[in-house]
Amino acid sequence: MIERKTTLVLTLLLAALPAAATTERQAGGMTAEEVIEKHVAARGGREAWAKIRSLKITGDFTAFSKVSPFTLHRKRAGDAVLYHLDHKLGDKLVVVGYDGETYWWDNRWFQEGAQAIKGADLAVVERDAEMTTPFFDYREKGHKVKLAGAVTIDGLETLALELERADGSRETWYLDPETYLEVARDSPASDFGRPAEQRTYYDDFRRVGEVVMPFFVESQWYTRDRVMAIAEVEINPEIDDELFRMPLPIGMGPLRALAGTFEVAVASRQQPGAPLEESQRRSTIVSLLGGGLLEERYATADGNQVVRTLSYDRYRKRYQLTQINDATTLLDVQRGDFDDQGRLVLTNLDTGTPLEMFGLTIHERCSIQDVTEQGFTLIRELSIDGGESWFEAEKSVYARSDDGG
Amino acid sequence: MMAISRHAWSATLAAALLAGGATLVAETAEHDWPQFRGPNRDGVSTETGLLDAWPEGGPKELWRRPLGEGYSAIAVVGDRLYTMYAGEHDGEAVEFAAAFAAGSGEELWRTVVGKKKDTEFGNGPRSTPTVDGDTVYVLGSFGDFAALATADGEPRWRFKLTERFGSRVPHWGFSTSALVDGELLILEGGGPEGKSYAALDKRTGEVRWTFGDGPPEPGYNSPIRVEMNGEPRYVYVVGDKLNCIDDKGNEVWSHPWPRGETHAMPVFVPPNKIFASGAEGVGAMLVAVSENGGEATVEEVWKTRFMKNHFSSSVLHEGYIYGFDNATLKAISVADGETAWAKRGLGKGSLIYADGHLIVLSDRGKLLLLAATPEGYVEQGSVQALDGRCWTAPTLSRGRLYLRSQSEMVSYDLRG
Repeated sequence: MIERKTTLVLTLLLAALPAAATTERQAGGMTAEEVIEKHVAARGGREAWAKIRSLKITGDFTAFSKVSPFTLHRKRAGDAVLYHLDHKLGDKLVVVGYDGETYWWDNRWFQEGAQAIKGADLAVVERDAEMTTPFFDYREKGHKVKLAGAVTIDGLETLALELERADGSRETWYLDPETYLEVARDSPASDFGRPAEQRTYYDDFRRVGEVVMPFFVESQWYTRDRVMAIAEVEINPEIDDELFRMPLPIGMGPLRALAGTFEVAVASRQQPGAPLEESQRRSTIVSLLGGGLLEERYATADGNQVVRTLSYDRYRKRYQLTQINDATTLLDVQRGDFDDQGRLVLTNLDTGTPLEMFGLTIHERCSIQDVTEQGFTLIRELSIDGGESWFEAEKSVYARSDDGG
Repeated sequence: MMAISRHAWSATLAAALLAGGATLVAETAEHDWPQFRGPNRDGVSTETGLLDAWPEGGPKELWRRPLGEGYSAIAVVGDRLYTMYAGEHDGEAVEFAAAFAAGSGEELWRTVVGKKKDTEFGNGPRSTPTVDGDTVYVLGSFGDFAALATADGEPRWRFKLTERFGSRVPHWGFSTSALVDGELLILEGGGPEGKSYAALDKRTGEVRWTFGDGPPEPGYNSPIRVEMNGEPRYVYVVGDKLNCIDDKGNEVWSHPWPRGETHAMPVFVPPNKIFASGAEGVGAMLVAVSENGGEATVEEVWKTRFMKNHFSSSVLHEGYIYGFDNATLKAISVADGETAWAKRGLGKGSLIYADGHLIVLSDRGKLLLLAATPEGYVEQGSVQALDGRCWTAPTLSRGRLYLRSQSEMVSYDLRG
């Protein structure tokens, strides 16, 4: 009630006055820039923060009234800040990361395995990942800041700064008018993907080395309450970039080396006993959908265009290969798994997609084997007796291209 | 349903012989806490003589015992406690209603009420037993409603809400707590076609009347009984309405209510106002009711976004409402809804009022004694009473406080 009334009065005042003059009056003669500089200084200053190349933060995280340990890493990488948070929401593991390209999480409230973060959740994680408050470099990032005057938060008088980010999203920060440290922030939130608005409170500021940071951060929205109580902060620890990399989706880890550009040596024949015909081609296998799908496109020696995909069906716990060419336009689906020799073996024996030709039903079996960082081998076998016997129709040896594609 | 008497005779005898037992039964029924949120379902105890401040380390712990999962609160009548919890019976996961000796925590009997319900935020029963005379009324998560003998837990009668009223099992399970008023037993039936609310004959379980069309599935809001102009009224939130009905099952008034899960019970602000609050962004509202010649008018006095009770209800004391705005404990003025003070750090806690104090249990088991004053947050003692998630409000009877978590129950002496 107090907050609403105060905000209303201030809004009316702001509307009645020229913007620049208003900001000066609201902050006891200070401009927004001056307030920001005091805030930056209170947090240790830009120079001190610039010396921080990485952070490791540990403590307790509370969600759904259950407390569990968390570990948070941040690391500067050029202009980006890589981010990794390993914690639990209630009983469920949630790992959140940013690898410089993709914000991702392995959120067991939804499903096991890493996924790119989207929608309302993305706005939250983007903010959580930041090394400092957004005021440190707001000009460089294209944000706009406006003083919004005095606002009472839970009985405490604060100085409000309205921030409009470069993407147009808005948030309000409430600073302690004496220390210029942040008291609270209103910002976009997500409740299991539904957009909401959260208020985050910052308490227990402590000096760590040359900088100052809050050791108690609490966010509330909807019916939720999240508390991050920091126990220890380590400045500039060595952190391997691999920590931040988005893990491949479930099942796709063993196939990581299949992505890339390859020189492919092909030996093929049309029927059993026929001599092998050798050819060479170049093939690029692209990792799509956050690594959930590998796609290969190539032309055969006789000019047919082929598109092949490989993915993992997490629900049936089986790998799935599809292939189609412009000659038959039959979409062949093969399913299978790794055998005890480490070969990924897939067939269309039970998928209903064998080739029907010359009065024959021709099943196919693909084996991917000898997988290393340098390449792998794909063997295609055919059967005209329902899988009783197979003959090797094609052997393709993929060697990673030195030029990297 | 099966009553499982645990050394019933010996336990009763033992309880009576315990040093505290005589004191427990000697005090009058006004010191009972016979139902959810106490004698008047408002979270307010009339007890006096409690410690004004707790010693270092908290009040004296009387006993502590394991308890199965559940959020059911503890009812107290005489020298017995009643609550519900989940456990195993004949290899099945079930929900029990149980009685315990108030003086020792010893289990006297337990009775299987129904199947156990598991949910993502905690398993087991939510509803609190209501004790009336020699009968205790209990509701399981899947709608198994029963009247049990307080002596030994033997069922007097039982039925399933889903069968009698056609209701669906709500997401978190049936959670409301029945209200006894004279010969009537008032409860949310949760059914369609005029069966949202019901009054039963408390002795037989027969339906006296039903009322209202609620939402497709039952809610989580238990009714309060108030008197306006000397007439009994039942007030509750269901779906998108704050409702008031009389003891004949007629609507007296209703008022629009923001749709959402409203768990917290309304609070009566005498002589004619109702405070209601809900989470999920809803906030709180104070309405003034005028009844005149069979006509009722409802006027909103104020609304605020800054008191959003979730599953923990507020208490009223001397013109201020104390409660959890999601995870911030606040005092707000009844006059205008403005915040007098706010305190974070207690999570999604719960509270009751007694003898000039707020007795607060944080959602992580920290028990605090606070001054019930709008002047500010004043701690007068604390103790880490329980571990793990604690979403069940404290119970106070005869100077003894009873708390539970998802795994334990504990009693403290608040009189020293």
